[in-house]
Amino acid sequence: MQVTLGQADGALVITVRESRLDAAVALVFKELVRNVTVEDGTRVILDLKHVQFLDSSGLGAIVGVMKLLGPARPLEIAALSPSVRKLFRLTRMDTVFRIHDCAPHAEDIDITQITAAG
Amino acid sequence: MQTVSARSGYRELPAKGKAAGRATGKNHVMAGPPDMRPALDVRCGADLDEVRHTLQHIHNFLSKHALPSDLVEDLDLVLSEAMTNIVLHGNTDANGLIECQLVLRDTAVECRLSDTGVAFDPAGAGLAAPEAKAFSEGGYGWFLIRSLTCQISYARKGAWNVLCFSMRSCAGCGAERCWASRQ
Repeated sequence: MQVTLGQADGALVITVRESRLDAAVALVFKELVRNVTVEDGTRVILDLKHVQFLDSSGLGAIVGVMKLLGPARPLEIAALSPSVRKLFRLTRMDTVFRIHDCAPHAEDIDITQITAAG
Repeated sequence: MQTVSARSGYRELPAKGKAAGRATGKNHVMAGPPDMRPALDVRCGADLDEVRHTLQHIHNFLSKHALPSDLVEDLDLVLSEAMTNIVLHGNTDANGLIECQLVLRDTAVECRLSDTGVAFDPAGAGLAAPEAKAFSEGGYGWFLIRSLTCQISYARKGAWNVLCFSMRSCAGCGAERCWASRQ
């Protein structure tokens, strides 16, 4: 799996380059983001525009990432497909995450890739 | 049957197939669908990568038969949740199996999901979602399955858990998914 890091408006944009964020890749995704260095006070925007399918394992990984980052580096979500948006709505996670229709245009700064598991 | 590996296989039954009394494997014999509806039998090992591959195959099958897209997406999610639970919590050994039988109707799907994991009666599972503000990393799976399906039933048959349910496109169904889609 691959994520791209970008910088926009003082925020770090993490773009998930995977069409399915499910149990097969959830731990790898979490591990990938764990290794990203984010300075305190920086917003982190998770761009899901490539993610067509998210299940509760993927959602759990996103929540886990939010906890890893902590309150000093708030996690926001962007560009949900209709089915991904529905999952957020059913679990009511749309009431606790800040959700944007699309991510701000970001200048790519890094491509981080792990291919070991999907 | 097109055999993918020793433990995986697919059988697609055409709309006018001879469906009655087909065998899906040495451990398990299924009765066929009662009519000539398109149907699919899928078998895979209890493994996350195999589950992913199998769901992709099911998705392709459903798309080919022009089911409503909301139904295709919801079935993908429900099967992913149920199969992931089997892999992660079924305590299956290396020979653990999952079988999925689907019968399609115009705006509905009937599903029978069987597995060789430990007995798990979902009667009390997923009656409510975890509180959002608790930021739970798990515990959503059965709530989602229950929210998106109708007529769930469970039985333990020999060494197999057998879960049956149906799913409909939103029109005329009282399940949570219809409620959710109106929000």
